Amino acid sequence: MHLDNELRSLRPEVGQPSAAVAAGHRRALDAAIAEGRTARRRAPLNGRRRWMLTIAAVLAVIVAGGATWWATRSGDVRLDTGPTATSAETSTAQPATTALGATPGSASEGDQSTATTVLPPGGLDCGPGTQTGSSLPGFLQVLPDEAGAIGTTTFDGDGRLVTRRETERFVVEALWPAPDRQLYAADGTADGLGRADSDINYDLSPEGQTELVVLSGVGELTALRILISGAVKVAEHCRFIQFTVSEQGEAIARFVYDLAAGDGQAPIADRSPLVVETRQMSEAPAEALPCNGGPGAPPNDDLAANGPAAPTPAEALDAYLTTPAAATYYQSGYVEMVTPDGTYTYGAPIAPGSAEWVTLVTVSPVDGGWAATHATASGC
Amino acid sequence: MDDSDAAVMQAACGDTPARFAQVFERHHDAVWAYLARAWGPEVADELAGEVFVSAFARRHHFDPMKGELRPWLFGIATNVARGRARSLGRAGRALERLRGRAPVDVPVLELVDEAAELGDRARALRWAIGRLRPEERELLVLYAWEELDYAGIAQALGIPIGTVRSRISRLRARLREMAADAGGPPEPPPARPRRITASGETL
Repeated sequence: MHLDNELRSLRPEVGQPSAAVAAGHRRALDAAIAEGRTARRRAPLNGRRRWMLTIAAVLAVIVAGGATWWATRSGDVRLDTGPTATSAETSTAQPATTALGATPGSASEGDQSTATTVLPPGGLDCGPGTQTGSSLPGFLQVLPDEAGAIGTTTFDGDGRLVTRRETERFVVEALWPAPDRQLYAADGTADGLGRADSDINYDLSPEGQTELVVLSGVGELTALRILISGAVKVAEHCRFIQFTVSEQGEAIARFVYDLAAGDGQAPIADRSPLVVETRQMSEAPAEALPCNGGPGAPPNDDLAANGPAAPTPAEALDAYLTTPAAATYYQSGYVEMVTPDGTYTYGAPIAPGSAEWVTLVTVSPVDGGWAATHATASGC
Repeated sequence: MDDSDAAVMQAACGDTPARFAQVFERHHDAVWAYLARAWGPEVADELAGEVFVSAFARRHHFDPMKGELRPWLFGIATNVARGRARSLGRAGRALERLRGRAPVDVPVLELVDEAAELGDRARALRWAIGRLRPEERELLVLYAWEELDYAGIAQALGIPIGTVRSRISRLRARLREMAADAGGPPEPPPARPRRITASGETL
């Protein structure tokens, strides 16, 4: 007998709910309908608000999981989390200490955890209990979907939560908050169901079933399931989680997940970071690939750039790319090359991993920070 | 008056939310049965009402262009049941179950025992079903017992159809493997596909 038929033959005959049970369920629904009418008269929810209530909230599960792991690994080290601490509003450079919620779902405003747990050195940058910033989705639970996926949760030195799911072939790493969020181009928003390449599929669906699935071929599947419930406030910079997908040791995709994406907005923001890699180099490349158009092809751009000053080299690049002079340049996917003289050169490779550059932008220290000082690019 | 599910939902989203009661009348038993098969009758008794309250609150999200109402309701039921498991597991137990690291209670399988004289192979499969992870059991119930098609399962679980196919394929393989480990007789190999020649002969 075919397996499906065998399984069907085992279908349990569960009968029907009792009349009393069904009547109770009907009463609950009737009450909800009546309440819905009342609520509609009181204050209709707009789409975004409904969405916020539906997908409301981040990370306590993962944070609690990490804290549990941390506490377990740390033996008798003990730290009672106290009243909520305030997180820095926007700084990623100075993570603020944040109380950990005792249990998932307990991170409501004013919550004071009595959990026994251990904070990472320097404190956890984002976590339930942080009360600054806007209301954001409050719980993110990252679970392996397949048997054999190895999961770890820990913290890095800056207090970021680091969750890894690892199979023989793939590693999916989530960093919360996303480091160096400014490295991501603001205009890189992608649609929710996108394909990075032929065998990778990111699937994020609404209705609390949000899922990120990394799929490659038959029998090779790793999934991160993002389960969402509750609502808390977290600092603004905590709205982004960075995911990095590596296949056999090589990063094949990186993107940020925007926890605050509303109706009509894609939760995956910018699969293509502005800066994809940093290299220390003795000398930065100076020449962009010439146009391959033969005689009469336009010459390369060679611009004495005068970009806006910015606090960091990457932000200076970002600012320069928004100027009219750079309007036709690649807006993301740059390799950051740092030379001993402290100059940063950002190169857009003709292909991932290539050492041939379509665009090169030099960023140097200036009064007030950093600014683009030179740019060269293929003329076509 | 159009009494289709889509029309009822449209009316319930408009000025006559009370029309949603028709959704309850038509689908309550099916939702209850799905919950009962996937999580047991007690869970169904507890949660089926909540499913319809939640569905009523989310009725504006139902899009008849994306599928039928019953899979959509099953999807909400799945979420409600998962949410219950999470809330129960805040001390860790349910989370472990979600991760598939702890044994799963499948009280509904007792009904199988009561209803049928099982042969060795069926007993082995029943044993294997009892060891599925919760998300695998959801899939099994949807495709083998509720007999949703791939599109309906995709709608219910909120995943692409391709993912449904691959998961069902792995589920079958896992059940075969576990059933074999349980000592059941090996399943006969599938019949070889036959090629048809240009003259109509089969090889």
